[in-house]
Amino acid sequence: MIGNDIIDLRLSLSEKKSENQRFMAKVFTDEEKGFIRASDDPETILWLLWSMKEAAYKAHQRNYGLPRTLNPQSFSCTVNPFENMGKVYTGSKNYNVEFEVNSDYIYSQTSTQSTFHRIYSKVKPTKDQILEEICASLDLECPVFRLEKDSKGIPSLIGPNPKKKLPLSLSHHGNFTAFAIPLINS
Amino acid sequence: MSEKEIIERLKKIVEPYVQRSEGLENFQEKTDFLNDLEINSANLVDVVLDVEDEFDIEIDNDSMEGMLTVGDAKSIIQDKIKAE
Repeated sequence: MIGNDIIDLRLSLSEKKSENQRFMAKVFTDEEKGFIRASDDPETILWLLWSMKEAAYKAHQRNYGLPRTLNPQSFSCTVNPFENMGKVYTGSKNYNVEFEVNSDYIYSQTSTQSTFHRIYSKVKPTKDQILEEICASLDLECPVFRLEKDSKGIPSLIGPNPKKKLPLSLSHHGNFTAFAIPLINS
Repeated sequence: MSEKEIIERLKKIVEPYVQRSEGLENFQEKTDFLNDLEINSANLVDVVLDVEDEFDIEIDNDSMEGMLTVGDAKSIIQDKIKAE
């Protein structure tokens, strides 16, 4: 179970979404809106919550083989800013999400296993370029591996044994690409 | 409003958010906002808001949840216009 999400803040902060009440109403719960308003930097915090919801949604969708949906409000977040961690609740399930926020990007990730992740600068990477980056990072022999998305858009890394699909999560926004892959021996 | 007109108006709405412009060349019911047009999911919420304005309807979260293709959007718009 793995899910990640990256936000290029250069693109997102300029959208000034915290001032867009209709956007806020569609995406966030009343508690989340209160949390965002009360923060020192509402614009960054709203994108942090968005990315946490996205990461949890991807893990949840993979976990239960669910069809794709667009319902960010059905994922609600609590944040512990001192630990760079939070929890995302959906239905009776919840996901622990770790995050990293700096002046360039927000990265969120949820995983139940130890996970390798990498964030790098790359505008509009092709599927092959992403695969190359993954193989180089994990020391895999690239020609043997390939990336595949199933009918629900859930990606996997497929190795020499085609029956063995390794789960991974991909995210791309603006200048940044990120992937997360649970470590095979964990 | 004809289906053709709805789809033409939809195309104008989504254009500013499209990351993969080839996807617009064959804009039809099957066109997938995320896969074919590479609209990011936050911008898909913007599309929903713009659709509300353009067609003077309200799209609740249950309807928004399933708005992933041009055809999905067209059906939702038709249903909401009928219900007005």
